[in-house]
Amino acid sequence: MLIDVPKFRESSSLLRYVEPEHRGRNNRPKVGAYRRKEDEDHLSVNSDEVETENQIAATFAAKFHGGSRPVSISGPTVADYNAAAESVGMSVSFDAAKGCWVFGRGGDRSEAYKHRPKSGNRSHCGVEYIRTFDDLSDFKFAVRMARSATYRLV
Amino acid sequence: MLENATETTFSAPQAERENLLVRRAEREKLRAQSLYYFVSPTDLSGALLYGGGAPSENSSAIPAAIAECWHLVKESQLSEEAFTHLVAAAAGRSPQSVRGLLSLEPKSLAAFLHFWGSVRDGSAEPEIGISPKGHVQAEWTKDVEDFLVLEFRPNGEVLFSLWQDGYPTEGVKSPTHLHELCRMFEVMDQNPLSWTDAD
Repeated sequence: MLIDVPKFRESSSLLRYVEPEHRGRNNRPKVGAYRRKEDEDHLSVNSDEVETENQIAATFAAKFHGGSRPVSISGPTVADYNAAAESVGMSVSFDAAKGCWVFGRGGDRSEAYKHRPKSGNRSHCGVEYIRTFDDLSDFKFAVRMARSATYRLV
Repeated sequence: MLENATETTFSAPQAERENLLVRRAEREKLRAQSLYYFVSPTDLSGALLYGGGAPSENSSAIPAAIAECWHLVKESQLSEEAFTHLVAAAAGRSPQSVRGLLSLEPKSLAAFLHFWGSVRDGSAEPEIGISPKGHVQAEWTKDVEDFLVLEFRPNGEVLFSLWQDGYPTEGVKSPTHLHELCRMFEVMDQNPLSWTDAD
């Protein structure tokens, strides 16, 4: 059952496009697939609560592959992202009052996962806390994410 | 005025030639001392003097960063598969890329190739990748709980993430402390640089 605005349920997947050069052995994404790009202040992902994997693959194909399929997609769950964040020292918790995942401590808390719909890409979301990472934390986070899921060709 | 213009026209190539000779002399000195050999992008033809078979400056087949490190690449004895992958990955990153992927950093590649040259004997060839910033990443995998990832910064620092039985040891090593990392690998039951899950 698809919805217009993702709730980021723990079992939901946040799909990440895997560049052909980041396809590792045994369907494992290389660490570079989850390193933040220069133009990202969030990690770009797509929620399977809003669009099907096939629809998301079509978006990736149009954006990165000149429309040709298949594209490679890795789809860790929100729980995987939370675990990786915790593992590198980032506190992510569910704020029942706001009804969303938040990161940070004390009063300085922000949305951990944000719906960022774009024209022709309505399931686009951001993993927001990566902008607070220094380079080593970003590397450690990328290692965990790359090792938490395989990629598949869709 | 005309005299000045004439002087300028002829003095620049003369200075260039002199610089080239100085650089060649410096390279010879470095080679003699077994230090690393760097071919500048504007002086690739110089590599041919040593029989290196470097690609031409205008070659579109070899990305600039790889051409810059040609002698190191040649001496690295990377497999054809790894070399082909590296070239393809680097070639896919044009300066105009809209995907946020920066060009392969030659200094990062050189740092990796130096490291690889020093540990190659007895090691398995890693999976080589390029980070979005253009830094070389090398991954050795035994299984899901045992793997090693190294990322080579252009300044020679190395980010490392070593996992044994699912537990990580991670950090950054400066170029002068890289030997500590290698020593840590050597005292393990099995050197992670020998790990591979290739068929």
